[in-house]
Amino acid sequence: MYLSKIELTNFRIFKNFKATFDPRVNVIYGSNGQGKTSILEAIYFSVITKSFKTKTDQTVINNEKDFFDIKGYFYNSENILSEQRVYYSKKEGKHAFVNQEKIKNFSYLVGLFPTILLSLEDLDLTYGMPASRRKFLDILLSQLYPSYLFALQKYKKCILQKNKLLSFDDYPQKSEEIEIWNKQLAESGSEILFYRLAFIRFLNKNISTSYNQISKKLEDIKIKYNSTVQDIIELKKGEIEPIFIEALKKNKKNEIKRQTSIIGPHRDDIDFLKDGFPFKSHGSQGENKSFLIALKLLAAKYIFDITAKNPILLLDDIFGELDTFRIENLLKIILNTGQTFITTTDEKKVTSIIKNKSSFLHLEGN
Amino acid sequence: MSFNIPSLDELVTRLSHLPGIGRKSAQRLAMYILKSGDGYSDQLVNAILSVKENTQMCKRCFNISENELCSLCSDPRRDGHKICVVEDIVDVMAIEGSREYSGLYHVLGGVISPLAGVSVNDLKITSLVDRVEREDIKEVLLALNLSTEGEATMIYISQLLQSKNIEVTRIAHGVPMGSHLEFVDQTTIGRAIAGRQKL
Ligand SMILES: Nc1ncnc2c1ncn2[C@@H]1O[C@H](COP(=O)(O)OP(=O)(O)O)[C@@H](O)[C@H]1O
Ligand SMILES: [Mg+2]
Ligand SMILES: [Zn+2]
Repeated sequence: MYLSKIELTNFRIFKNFKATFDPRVNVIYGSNGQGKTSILEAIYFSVITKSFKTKTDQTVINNEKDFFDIKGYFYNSENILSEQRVYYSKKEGKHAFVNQEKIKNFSYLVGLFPTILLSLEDLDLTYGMPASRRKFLDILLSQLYPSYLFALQKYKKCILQKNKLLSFDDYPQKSEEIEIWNKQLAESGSEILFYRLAFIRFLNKNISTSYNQISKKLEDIKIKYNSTVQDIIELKKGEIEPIFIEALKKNKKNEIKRQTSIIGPHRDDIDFLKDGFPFKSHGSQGENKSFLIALKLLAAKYIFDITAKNPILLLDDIFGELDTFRIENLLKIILNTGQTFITTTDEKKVTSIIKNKSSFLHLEGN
Repeated sequence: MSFNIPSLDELVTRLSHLPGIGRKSAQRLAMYILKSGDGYSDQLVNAILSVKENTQMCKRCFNISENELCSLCSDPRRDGHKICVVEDIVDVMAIEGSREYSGLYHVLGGVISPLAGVSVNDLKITSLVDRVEREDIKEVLLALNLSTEGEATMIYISQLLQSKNIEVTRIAHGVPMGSHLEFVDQTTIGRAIAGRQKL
């Protein structure tokens, strides 16, 4: 599975851009502001139908234009070519096409060509708020399981409704109406938890090895899923929902008092621990970086284990704070996985390992 | 763009308030009305006035009607042991169009949605429970849209009816006719497979 060609019209700095890619490794290099990140953003857009940098699609349209068009030509695992197209204009909205056929429900596209992104923004995973850690899980698992994405969309909608209901003052039916949302929340929320927990168990089994591959250091790394529902890491599928319902019941008064929903996967968090302490406070910047790389490579491995497809890896400008030793370890691992896109201002950092000429794309004069 | 003829512009403005009608279509419709002969405009005006004057909600099922009871409620051939609960009168028409159902209806007038400011009290739910208690009902079929709000409303109603000793069912979900399976989202396919039938 790989991206063979991309065509961009009015996307960010590119009014008209075409590039063909190597099925293995692609190093996109050039000085700052040349559009390296924008190319990764466009690739991401063509498979996830969203940007990883902005929530408003309008932002990625070239400043002087009023629409953008991305066409990605992908070979799937059976080596069949497929054209993924995303078009957006303020007037007409966003439209997606697969082989010229219009896709009504974008969820259908998500996961066709699974993709893992690692960028500087991912430092939020260790340093930032819980929401970025939940987003990491949600994007990964939505690509893997259509039923996760469906449950997530349903869950979020129910939370909006329930929070609105909780915010009403003097509303006699409140307690009664909460139940109808809670029932759906427990149903979709258990589905979400089930998939999240399975992934966390996989991470715990493999994270120390993965970290060691990058930094050649043996560390005791643990990943802890902090659920607002209960300590549920070892539960099986059918066991989660009754516990969820119980937790919602127990906290109903509290939720009414606080006028917002406080129980469920939308409030859960993950701790990344090194020797029992958070990476955030006990790891150096370099260690944090190594950890994030190990984490993302494991996410890619998880996709491979489940789907037998190697996902596309997008690595945006991640060499800062990494010594040559770690960069080389990383590149060696990458050479044995799926198609990878690496952006850098300094291509010399990779030329000791990556020699293939077709792997290099130089951006200049933009 | 406007015609700069106040009466014509007024007509265009009124028409463009109709759902699905933009400024351009409104202009085309207005020109058609303007040029039409044979009293068409009188007929149109009368039809509009008469629909407002002569229709009301059916007292029993809240369908649209020209009498106290709608044509479905007063048709003795309908199966009076079944009620099909729908969101809106257009859903009655849609289900009638399928000719698969011969029972009675109950139009809720919406679904529960705190965000849209719709609570259980804004819907014809109490009157549904009343009907189940007073009429000789054996089955209530919930045919609401499968949105989270539709689902919430179905949960609410089925809980209310739990103790009533009747059968409460809901419509099956599945793959739309004429659609390519490969372009149907996997959730719909999953549900269709879960609800598969013997041939
Ligand atoms: N919507 C847009 N229209 C035109 N130019 C843009 C738009 N968004 C960003 N740019 C410009 O594109 C350039 C390239 O951005 P980026 O892809 O981040 O470059 P790089 O990753 O190579 O440093 C920046 O100089 C930025 O000003
Ligand atoms: Mg960049
Ligand atoms: Zn009636």
